[in-house]
Amino acid sequence: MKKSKLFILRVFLLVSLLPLIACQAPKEKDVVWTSDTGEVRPGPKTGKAVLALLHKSRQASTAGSLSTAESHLERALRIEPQNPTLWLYMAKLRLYAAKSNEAINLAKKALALSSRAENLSRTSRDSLQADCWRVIAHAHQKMGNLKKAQKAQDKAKSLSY
Amino acid sequence: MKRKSPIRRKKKTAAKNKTRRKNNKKKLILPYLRILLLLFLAFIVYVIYLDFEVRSQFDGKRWSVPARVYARPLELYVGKPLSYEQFNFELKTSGYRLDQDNIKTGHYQKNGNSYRVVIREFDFWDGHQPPRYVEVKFEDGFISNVTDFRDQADIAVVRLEPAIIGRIYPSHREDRLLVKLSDVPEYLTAALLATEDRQFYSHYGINPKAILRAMIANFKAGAVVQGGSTLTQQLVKNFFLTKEKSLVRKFNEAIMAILLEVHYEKHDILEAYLNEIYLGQDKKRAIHGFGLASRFYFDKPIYNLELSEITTLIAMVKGPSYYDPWKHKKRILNRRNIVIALMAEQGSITPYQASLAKEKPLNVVKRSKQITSVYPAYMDLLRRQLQQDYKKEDLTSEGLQIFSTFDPYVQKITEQTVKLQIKQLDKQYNLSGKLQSAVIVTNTNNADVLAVVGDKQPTYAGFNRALDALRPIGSLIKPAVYLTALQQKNKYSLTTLIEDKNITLKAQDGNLWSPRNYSGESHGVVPLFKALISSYNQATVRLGLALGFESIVTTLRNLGVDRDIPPYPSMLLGAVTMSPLEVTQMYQTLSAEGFITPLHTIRKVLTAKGEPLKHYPVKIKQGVDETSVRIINSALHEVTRHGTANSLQWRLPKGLKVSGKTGTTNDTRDSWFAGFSGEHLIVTWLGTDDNQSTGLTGSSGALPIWSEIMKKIRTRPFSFANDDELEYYYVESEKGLLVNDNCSTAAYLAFRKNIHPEDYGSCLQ
Repeated sequence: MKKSKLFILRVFLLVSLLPLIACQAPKEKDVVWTSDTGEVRPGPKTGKAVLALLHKSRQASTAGSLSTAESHLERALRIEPQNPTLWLYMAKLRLYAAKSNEAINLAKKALALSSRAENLSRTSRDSLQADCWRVIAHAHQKMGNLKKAQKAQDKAKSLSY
Repeated sequence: MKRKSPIRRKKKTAAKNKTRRKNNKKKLILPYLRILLLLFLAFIVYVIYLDFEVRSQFDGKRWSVPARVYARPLELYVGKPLSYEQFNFELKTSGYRLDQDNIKTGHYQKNGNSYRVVIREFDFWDGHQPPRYVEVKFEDGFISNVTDFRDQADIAVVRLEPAIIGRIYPSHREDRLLVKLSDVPEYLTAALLATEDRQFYSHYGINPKAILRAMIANFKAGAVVQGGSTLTQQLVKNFFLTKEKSLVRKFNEAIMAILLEVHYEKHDILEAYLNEIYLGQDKKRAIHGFGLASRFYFDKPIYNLELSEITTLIAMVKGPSYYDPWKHKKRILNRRNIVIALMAEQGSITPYQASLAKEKPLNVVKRSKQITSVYPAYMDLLRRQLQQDYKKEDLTSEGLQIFSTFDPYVQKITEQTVKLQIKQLDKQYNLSGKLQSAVIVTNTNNADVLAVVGDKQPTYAGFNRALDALRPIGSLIKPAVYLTALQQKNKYSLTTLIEDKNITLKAQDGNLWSPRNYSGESHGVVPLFKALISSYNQATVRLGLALGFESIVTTLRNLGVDRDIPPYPSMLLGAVTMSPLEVTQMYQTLSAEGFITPLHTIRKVLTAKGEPLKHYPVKIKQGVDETSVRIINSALHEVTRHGTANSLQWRLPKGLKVSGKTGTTNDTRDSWFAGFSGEHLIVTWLGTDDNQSTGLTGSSGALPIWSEIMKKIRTRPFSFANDDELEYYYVESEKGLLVNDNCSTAAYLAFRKNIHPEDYGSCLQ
């Protein structure tokens, strides 16, 4: 029973995180734009300046320059520091840079901010939060914390519909 | 036995005499020869030594270039809160000049509510920004439009290049911007050679003809009127030798010049000369090289200089202070025109070009108030943070570019406020000039340190109180005590009733300790939030005892306090000493809803060539759960409405919600206020260096300064966080019962869904 449960968990994690794991050399849409729950957009009230910077960040990550991608994202964050999606993107960039612990903390910040983001619809908030939990799950899995990974994955699942 | 004939004998004697004479002569000459030989050997050894000197210095790193520290760049985009006044200030700080007739790089024009600026090109850490032709429009304190004024295309976001706020100098304070020969306009080298060394490309380091010509001229004039030094000799003189005038030095100069020519190509020597030459003085800073001189006098990169500007710089080679273009306009103009004439004579330019150039005015920029560390307290913090990653030599010599978080506008407001208010308060409280202050301003969202003041005279680089004054923090510690309670999710809420009455404890020294309230009165049973917002000491000590010292120390640690805190009862009332910077770190975590980000001054460090050296990534860690911090922050907001900082209701404009806490220590020795809006955290401390009683409480001393700064910087108001676990209620402050939202004395507070007041009470009058 225990063994089969573990097996199911592993398969589940592998399948749900495939898009993330598959990206050793990250591509833009994987890094900042989409996840397996669908697209996570920067929010309806995101300013033009931030969108332009996100575009640059995306281009840089496509070109394989994670640090430049992060620089553009940091600039966007200075303009809209309360935009949870930007923190989530930052978390994803750290995940790709194999900095799991940092990814978890950034995803938690995104989660904390998502609850106070006034202009997000319930659905987009849930999908944003689901994605945050997915990042946390993946980071825990990378670090070998399978229990925590599953807990996070369960939360992600409960928010996806 | 054969006898020798007398003639033969004679001959032999003569020969013998000859050899003897010869030997005598030899004996006489030999010591001289030996000396000569020794001298020659010594000379050879000396030349080898000089050769070693020349090569090791010239091959190695040739110049130490100070690190440049930049302010944060100003971002321009639609919707940015920015006033005219601030934009004006930012333009001036970055060295932009108003010119209503002629718009070119580094200039701006003003027309009603719109500005046109030609932003200089700049190499940022994330790429090159070419010159931008930007029109910025303002409406009600916000940017309403950013376009390219040449083609009217919208610009999503653009940066004003950051101002240099300081340099980290080696001891000699030489400054330069290194240039490559390929970047230098041909006219510049042509003008230089025409005036200083015509045979540069044909001589071997020294030019005997020129020396002879100079000697004759000097002899005729009876004084030194002409120099015969080649550029190589001049370089050697500046580069390797001291300024004393002696024959030995002249000798060394000649030898080293020849050695330099033997080992290096002409273009290496010329390039070194262009970077070495001294071209002026900016207070303590020595301007070296044409690269920096071009920026300093004309505010242009060297490759954009015009002929008349090039010749002005060449004219100054002879003596930058004698030909100072700001002080001696006529003198330099004459000299410049001589340089132009020489160039025409040599055929480097046509007579027509020469006459055009001679017509041009000097064109030097207005002497800008270039800043040489006028922000000592901030630079001190930055330097300390840099020294964690870099050696001192690297900072003063490698020409590093350091991009900081410094906000010139916030710093200006902070400095002005401190200067003015400390003067007034000192007078009002008869402190005979002893009252001191420290202020730190940060961004709550990312822990960027924006401004630091460490002295009532902010430009005085002495004791930096913001970093080094360790003072008891008084009631500033209380939020940590109450936060510890609120983290016990099922036990405490902001309306949990606690006792405010006399208590006596054994202190660490064995003596009995009976803390008193500031008013001297006890208040009986009060809701938790009331004890916090009115800063009741006895209630806090009782609550702290119930929670346990260790758990409070843990909370402080989770708020980012690194210092060892002895778990004694007096700690509960802030007998703990901390620097304003440490207090800022603690409140930073509160303002960021429980996420710890180390306060930082550095965003990026690049090499002199613009390659990224070190990235300082966003670092965050959740220290305390956001829900508990949101609850305590709602109470800290109440401090500014009905608590010890209620004067903020009239001090700040309506709608600018803030949260914070006052702190006063025994006998009013320290006056503190720490508080934040939705964007800025400010911590202010007032007191005297000899720990004298000032008569100032947190709300009468530190608070007015804090509010004046908060009012003047553009900031976003503090806002209540909605969160699935939270609900907000209006409550009265006697029993913590629910009241209607139209009750003006009611507190608006956050509660966890599982623990909040349920009964209704009446509105207190």
